[in-house]
Amino acid sequence: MSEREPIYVLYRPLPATLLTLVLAAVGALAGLLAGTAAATALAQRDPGPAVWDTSNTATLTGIIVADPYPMLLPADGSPGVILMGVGKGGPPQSVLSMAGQTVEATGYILERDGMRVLEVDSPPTELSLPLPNRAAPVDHGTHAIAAEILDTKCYLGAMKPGDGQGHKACAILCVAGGVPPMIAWTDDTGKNHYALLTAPDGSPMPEQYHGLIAEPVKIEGRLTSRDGWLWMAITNVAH
Amino acid sequence: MSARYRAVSWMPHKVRYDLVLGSLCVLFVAVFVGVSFVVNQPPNDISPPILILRALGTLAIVLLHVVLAIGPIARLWPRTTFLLANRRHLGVTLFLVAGLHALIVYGFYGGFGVQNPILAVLVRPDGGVGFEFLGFLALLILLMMAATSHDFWLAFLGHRVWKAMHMTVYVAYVLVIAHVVMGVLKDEKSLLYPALLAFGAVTLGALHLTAGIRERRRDATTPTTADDGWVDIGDASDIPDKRARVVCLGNGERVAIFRDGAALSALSNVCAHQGGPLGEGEIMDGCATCPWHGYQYETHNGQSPPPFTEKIPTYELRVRGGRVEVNPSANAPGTPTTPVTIPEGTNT
Repeated sequence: MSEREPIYVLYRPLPATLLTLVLAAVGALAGLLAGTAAATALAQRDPGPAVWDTSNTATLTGIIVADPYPMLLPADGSPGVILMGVGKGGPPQSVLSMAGQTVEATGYILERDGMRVLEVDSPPTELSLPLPNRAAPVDHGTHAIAAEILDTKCYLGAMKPGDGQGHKACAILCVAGGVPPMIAWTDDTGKNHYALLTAPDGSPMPEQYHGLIAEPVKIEGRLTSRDGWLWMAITNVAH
Repeated sequence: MSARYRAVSWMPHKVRYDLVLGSLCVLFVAVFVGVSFVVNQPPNDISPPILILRALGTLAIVLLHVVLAIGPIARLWPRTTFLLANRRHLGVTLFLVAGLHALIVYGFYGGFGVQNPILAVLVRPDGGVGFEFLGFLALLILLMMAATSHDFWLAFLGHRVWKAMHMTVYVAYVLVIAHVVMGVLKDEKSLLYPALLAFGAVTLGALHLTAGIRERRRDATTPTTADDGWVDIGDASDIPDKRARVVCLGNGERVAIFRDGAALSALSNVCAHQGGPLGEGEIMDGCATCPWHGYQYETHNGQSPPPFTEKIPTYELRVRGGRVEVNPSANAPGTPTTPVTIPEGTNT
């Protein structure tokens, strides 16, 4: 401080000699904040092309299956659509109770790479239609895949990004609530693949793996194709 | 300074400070969200709640760095001491921003499920904790600091205890860095984030280290001591009118010798309010005035002018052979002393 530089006291007028310095400090802080905000926003990773279309209600026709995860198999033969309710859980009982029936279900679509979820917003309507034929599962043998256990609802569009450590707590909550777990990976040709995870006997993924959700893991198991999805029956998960 | 306790003693400067600070926070969030909207177009857009919580979390980290940088900056460049004036408003704002960030995390990531939202975020299925818990601990520290930022707590706890409590902001800083490293940095690919964190840490470290070394060097200068123990503080001409000279006594205490015209008085250099460096202030209205928050003390008795009640220790002075000497034994806070007069003929 120069010998004669006045000090700044809150309850007194700002000394004229300090005004320029105060304005410079405010300007510097504004620049620091705006610059940091722009730079950190630009550096965010791409969450991928996933959509949660809450502006349009979709109506799908097909048969409801309940095991291992509630799904609607569309009458047009397109891949099965995972059924969910509002929030972090599976579909309501009004949907589950119609397993095995052909229905018209309405709700909001979540979709990534053609893999879809229908968030049901009202009880489905039973239809008097013949049940579509289900193709037999195709066995692809055992595989070990490096991936991350995800929850289908968030990763397919409910949250973007819906993966990683930042999303771990949410993903665990979703899976614990009945949202089917899945893995996603990209092959050497750049094609994305998605597989729903089950226990070795085809039942829902055991709780013992919940702590490994959102962690980088190597999942081993038998891979099959069914209803337009890949399914991985887990035999081991290495962290 | 205030004679009685109010929630906030609003003054034009405080209002302007808060308006500017609030506007800067809005600017940060607006730029962050705006840039994200432009860059991440549907279907590759980022969910709006995630954008907001990221903007708030990033803003909180920047504000934390600013809060921690102000102290050493003001020590190194005393002209910037005005930055200290409303630092507690900045701290409370930091807590509010971090709290809002946490609120969205608990609501968005922890809500709509089968568990308590806070527990769902903080506790893992195996009973362990994740990176969110570190942020939660940091938020508790910021809450404690924000809740005790009022002058009531300063007076109730005493500035030493209060200061010690508020030094835990450095623990909060470490927790926040760990929170980011174990969370966001595991997900994001850009090297910008670790680079910014490292830059912030190095800058803060350098500022604190430089300020500390400078103060240590200043205190290391041992003044001459007379046979009877009085400490020589030099010629009166060394002290500019209305200002003070600060001397570190052998016992580690700092004393500020103020000059008001031809009169010299010695006071403790430690302001009773927040422990500010009183000797770096100046005499206003006949009182020694602290540069941090303008707390004032009458130079002849170390007492704040009525109706204020703060008191600081005083020291006895004498002049021998044109040299000013101070008795290193402090008087009790508020003890009247007789100012000494600078001898005629002293070059001022």
